[in-house]
Amino acid sequence: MRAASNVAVHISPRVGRAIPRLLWGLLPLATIDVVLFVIPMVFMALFSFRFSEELLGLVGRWTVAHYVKVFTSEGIYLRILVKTIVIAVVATAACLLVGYPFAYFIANASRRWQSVLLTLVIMPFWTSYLLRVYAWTAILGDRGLINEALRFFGVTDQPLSFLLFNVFSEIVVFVYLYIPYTVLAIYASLEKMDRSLVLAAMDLGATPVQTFLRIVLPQTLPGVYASIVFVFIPILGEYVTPTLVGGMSGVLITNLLVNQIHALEFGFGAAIAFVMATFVLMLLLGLRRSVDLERLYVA
Amino acid sequence: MSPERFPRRSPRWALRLPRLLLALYGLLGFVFLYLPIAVLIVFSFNSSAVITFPLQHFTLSWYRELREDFVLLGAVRNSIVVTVVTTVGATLVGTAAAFPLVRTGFRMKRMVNLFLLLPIVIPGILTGIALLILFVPVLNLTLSLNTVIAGQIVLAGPFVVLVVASRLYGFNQQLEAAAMDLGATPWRTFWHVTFPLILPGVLAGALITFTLTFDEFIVTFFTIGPESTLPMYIWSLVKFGVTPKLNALASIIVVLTLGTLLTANSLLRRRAR
Amino acid sequence: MKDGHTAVQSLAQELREGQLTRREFFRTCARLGIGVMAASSVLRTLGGGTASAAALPGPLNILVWDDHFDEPELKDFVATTGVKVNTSLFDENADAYAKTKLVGGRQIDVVSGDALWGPRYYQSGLVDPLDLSQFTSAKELFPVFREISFWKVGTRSIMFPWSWAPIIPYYDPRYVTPFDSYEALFDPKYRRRIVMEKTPVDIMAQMGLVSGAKKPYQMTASEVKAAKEALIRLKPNILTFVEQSNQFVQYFVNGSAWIIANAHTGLDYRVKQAGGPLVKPVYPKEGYVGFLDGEMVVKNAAHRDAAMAWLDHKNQAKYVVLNFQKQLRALANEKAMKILQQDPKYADLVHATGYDQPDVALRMILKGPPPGEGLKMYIDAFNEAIAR
Repeated sequence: MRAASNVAVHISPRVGRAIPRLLWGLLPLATIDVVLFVIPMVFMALFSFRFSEELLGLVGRWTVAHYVKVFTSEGIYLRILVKTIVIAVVATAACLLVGYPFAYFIANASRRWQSVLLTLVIMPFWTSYLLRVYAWTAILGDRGLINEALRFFGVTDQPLSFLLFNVFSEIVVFVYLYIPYTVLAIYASLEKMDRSLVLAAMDLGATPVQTFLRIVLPQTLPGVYASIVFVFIPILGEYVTPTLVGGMSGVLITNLLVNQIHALEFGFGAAIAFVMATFVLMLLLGLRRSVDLERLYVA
Repeated sequence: MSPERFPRRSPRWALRLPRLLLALYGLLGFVFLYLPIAVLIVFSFNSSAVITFPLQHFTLSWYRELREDFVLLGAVRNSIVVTVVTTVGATLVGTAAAFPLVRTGFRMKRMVNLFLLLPIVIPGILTGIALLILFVPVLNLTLSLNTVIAGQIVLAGPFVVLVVASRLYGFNQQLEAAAMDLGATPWRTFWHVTFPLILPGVLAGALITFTLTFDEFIVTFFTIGPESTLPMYIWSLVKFGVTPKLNALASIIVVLTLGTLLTANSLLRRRAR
Repeated sequence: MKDGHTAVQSLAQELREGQLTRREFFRTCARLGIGVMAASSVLRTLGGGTASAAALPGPLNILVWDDHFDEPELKDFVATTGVKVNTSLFDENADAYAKTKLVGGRQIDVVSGDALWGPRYYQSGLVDPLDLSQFTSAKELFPVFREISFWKVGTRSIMFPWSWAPIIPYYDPRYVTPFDSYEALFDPKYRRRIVMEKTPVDIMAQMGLVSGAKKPYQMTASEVKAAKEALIRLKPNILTFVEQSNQFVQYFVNGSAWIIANAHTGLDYRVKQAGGPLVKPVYPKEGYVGFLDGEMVVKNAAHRDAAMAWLDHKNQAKYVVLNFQKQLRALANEKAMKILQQDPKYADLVHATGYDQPDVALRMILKGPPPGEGLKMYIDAFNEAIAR
């Protein structure tokens, strides 16, 4: 309960001037992250700069060879990294496009239905991720649900084989896996949106599109931003989906990284991961600049 | 925001149409979310050992096999322990961290924000190995479910921060000020004003943590002692294959969670009335 | 779990007969929930109860492949020795190796591994070689498996051998003309029709066989390059890599795969069993790779006595028979094979899987990590080929 009491402290009238007491709330998580994340990552960083004969040995000579390799190796790591980012962007955009109206639908339902619908959105998560991805092979495959249905209704006589084992199926499954996050995040911001503003806009003669773009969307941007983080970043680390439904064209950066780890190349694997993390952080910084959340909420 | 509250200029059907379309869209959304699960459940009753159409005979043998699998049952138990403890822990520390990030301005805040997100950015296999190096050669700990929980809290923390923070943005602090003006102690203000208002965010954070942890495999593999969790069990059936036994297990989980959640829901509603 | 089980049955029954109301549905769900909770609490007490009666110091910690043990032998072991067994499962050799290296005998007593990973564990000082003559159940092994040269350290063996299988192509004769060489895989008419298990080193070794390498697991840089070119050439024909060989059956049954390029023997039987076509094995003239695996005892194992007792216990013919019936691939235990040969249901399968021809195991090109820098070279080449 210590964390909760830290939360409470901020509204105490005895708030100190120099360091807001509220900042103590950061302490537990920051400590956990430093001890259980930063320190281990420093070890990994050391490995990525060490050339060691022995597995996981810290003795060896300093080298940047692993990083050089990320940028050379026929350019495959960079190319696949860029490809991974592009696919993640497309999947995230698709999640937002499909998920926003869905969240709107839930936020518009009556109170008692909202909780039921939200429960139903989260439910699929609790079934094994692996098994759910597998299930898609039985939906999109040559004798899958879709092809069988098309054949049954006489639409096609040959199975549509482009449904599975390519970038398309990969993105479909990504959207399937991550859309609940989008829906939850956007729902949360829709739900606390100030609705009187919407009515005011309509009263003043704004069209529904104008109302949405000027009133609703800006108010839900934090939800949109949160869902981008929830969807975009985890997709960059996806390993299973490309393996199971991506076929030969859907290879992503984590597949290459995992292959290296299974060859006991921890140093090189770490180098790939750090290059990737740098890319992602730069993207996130850019995103933060363009969607300056703080300014939106100062008022 | 029910359409009835909009200015009543258009005829009735014009107001109903968008609503109908939206409902249809929602329905399609749920079909998309539940199609794979339906497929999973159907194959748990199918006699064939492989998950492919056409269906063969109806059978309950996969459920029968479940009953005899002790490793699996132990794994389910371990998974529940890890998930519950992680959820509580990550939700507490994540919520505590979200307040200063939203409510105070301090130098380096942007950096701290990014720093807290870092664990999501690094692929799990690397985090797992790094944690193992920390726990065993460096700290000389004994691996157990506790070390798993520690690792899982690191992974889940950022998600809680994000969800709770997005709830806190735009939170009307005047409500708190009003409570204090009316003489409420800070604790009372927190419990009666702040907490109920951020509760949906906290619950959403907890739900996401629960979900992520219940299914996490690779970091768990490296940080666990001589035990197994459910995802590890499922993942390790590599050499000679997934059987519909796992579908049977998944179906039971679906029915159980759906049942529990909906029952809890209706109970809560009844109490509220 | 009894409650849960019957609840599931009645649920299924009612669903079938279409007489389930919503209320009944929830009631059944609740019953199921109670069943699962009850079962887990019973399990917990059971676990605690038996551990206290320990005769040997335990618990025994095993890091093991799922197909290396079955429930009955686990239960019997707990019952007879009183030692609780903690099973931790894994899939990649490299993962288990890294974990054993970092954790050591304190928390892992027994670890499974593939043929040439054994010497690698031993050279890294992670395992103790075993004196097989100390084990009663080792007397049931085919003699050849007691004398595997690369596992020998003096008179001891690094591993207690468990199972083996050649890794070979299978094809669906409805679409594929019979062939005897890997070259056939490259035929453009099989575009997007070949499925392979994703085992990078072994795939590179197979490609090495295609491009004429003498020792597919010890290729030179130029041989690796040729193997990589072969894989790039094969890529258009590969529909997908799979993580699990069980998916092979699925893709043969539903007709999306015409050729599986690297399956364990016995696939034909499993495909037929699942209602699929009669697929045919190919033993390519260029040679083929295979796996031979077993268990190792970790150096300074905290529960060494229990580990030895476990190996002796699990390798008894009666349990090996059960394992064969479930996994359908050859094992190292000769006595179990003889029992299975008497069983009309399994006699043919014993032959089809090569269980009765242990010498084949030693003629295969055994999988394992290429020595030294080789492993890195193989993976770099594999990545370059699939990412292109």
